[in-house]
Amino acid sequence: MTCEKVRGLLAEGGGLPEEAEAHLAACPGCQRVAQRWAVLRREFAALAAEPEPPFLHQRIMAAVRQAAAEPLPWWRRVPRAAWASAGVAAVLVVGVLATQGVLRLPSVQRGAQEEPAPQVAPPPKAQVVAEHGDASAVERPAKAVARPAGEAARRGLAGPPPATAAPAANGAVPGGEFPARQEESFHRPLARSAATPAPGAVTERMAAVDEDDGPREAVPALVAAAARAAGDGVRPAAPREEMAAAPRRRPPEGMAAATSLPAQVRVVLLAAAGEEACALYLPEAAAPPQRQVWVVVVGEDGRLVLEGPPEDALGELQPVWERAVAGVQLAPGRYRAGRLRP
Amino acid sequence: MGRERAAPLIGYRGGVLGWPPRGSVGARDEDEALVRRAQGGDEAAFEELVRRHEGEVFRVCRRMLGSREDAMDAAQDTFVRVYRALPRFRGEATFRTWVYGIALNVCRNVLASAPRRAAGRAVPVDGEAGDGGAPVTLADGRANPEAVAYGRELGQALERALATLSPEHREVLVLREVEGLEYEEMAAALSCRLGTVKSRLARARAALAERLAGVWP
Repeated sequence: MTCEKVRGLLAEGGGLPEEAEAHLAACPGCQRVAQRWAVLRREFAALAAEPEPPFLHQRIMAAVRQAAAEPLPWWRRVPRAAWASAGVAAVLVVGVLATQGVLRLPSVQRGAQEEPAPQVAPPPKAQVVAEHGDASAVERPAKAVARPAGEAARRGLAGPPPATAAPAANGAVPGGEFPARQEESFHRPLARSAATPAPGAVTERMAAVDEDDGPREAVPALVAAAARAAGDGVRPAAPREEMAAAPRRRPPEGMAAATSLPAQVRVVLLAAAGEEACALYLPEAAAPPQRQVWVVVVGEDGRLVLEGPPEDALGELQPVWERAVAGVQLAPGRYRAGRLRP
Repeated sequence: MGRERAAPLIGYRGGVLGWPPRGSVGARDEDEALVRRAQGGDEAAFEELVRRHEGEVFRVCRRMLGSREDAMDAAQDTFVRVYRALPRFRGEATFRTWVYGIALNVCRNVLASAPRRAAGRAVPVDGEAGDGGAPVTLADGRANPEAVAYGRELGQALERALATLSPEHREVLVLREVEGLEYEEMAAALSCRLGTVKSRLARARAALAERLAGVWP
């Protein structure tokens, strides 16, 4: 029996045939391999002995009971066979329509691009809005529309927050249906739009708000998202609109836990005399914690110094705040920054 | 060729301390009975199924994901899926291999959704047994400090090597070497053919041996 075969059997584990045992007894190289596998298998067995964490069972059963109490979403209640049938039917319908020339598939359109086609300019946004009757229906695909709070309140537009601000911020709307120039009219740099104080906000006391605006674990991710949004001068519109429309309304219980979007926190900067200098909307992770006030010092050269945040977070917070404050045209001086108590 | 695995002495559920042994005919029959009761709406039966398999599911997730916390989440997610899919379980595979398959799917999803995070956490830090987890115990109870130190080093090297393997290689090694599944059970859990299991396992062993080249005795 060859060394290769014996080593293969050793790797497999288990008993060896007599032939292999005889080879092993006479071959120091294979003996070394056998010793290695024996040691390794002991270590594998030790891995198998790792105890499970306490309360694992309780945790699993709690999740199972919760799942049992929740009704399945409608698409999970539909049998799989029904989905398969629907899928087959959809494919057939699309296939029939495509072959009949009713539908023009993208590949067909690409092939036909050589032919001169009538140039149809996309309708202006205002017209599209008028036709749809709901601007949010038009703006949601762009997913990055920042609008002053007052304008939002006037229009009554407070749709659900878009998932990301990046595509439209760069004017790179998928499909290019909405040129960047048209989007710009709806965009406001974060700082500029945030500079508009809410009526009566000066009289509000700067203090902690009681509600929890969102989970705090993903601090680096939130800070990075804020940096991106602030860098593009754009941030998701809807949270700001919602907060502007009802900034002092406490969300219902459980809402904070249910939301998965980075929460935007309204942070007000007070000048030395106590008057409100501006309001910024920052992600939860970049805002002062509840019941805390940070100090923002704006130098003559426009440089910003943050006092109050933990030392290790300053590196990440600094660029976020600098970008947020950059467009506000904040006069040099010392400001107190904090949340508003409703 | 028959496979005779020596059961480790320390806490190897089903080997020495647990009875009936994991994967044995007796255990399979008990599982089947419990599954039937659970499918009939018996929550206690389902809880007993969880109790019987949560440890192995946790260990597989732990080895696949590297972190105990992620493994707990994955184990929890696995049993929620098991609960939801139980009415459709027809017993083509054993309950145990079916659960392994679901657990591996959950782990693959976790690894696919956060590859960098998972990869970063899958590699244990030197001198640390996982993230706050119990230290890896030597199975043979060697008293010689040098031998124990070497064993610890080898154990940690093994964990690191496992963490750097591809998920495909890691899962076959974990199922075979840690959990002790037979080839047929692995094929059922991985939804692939017997030959695929064997060839993948051979490649995984070769990759592991290559990574352990510096710490072999």
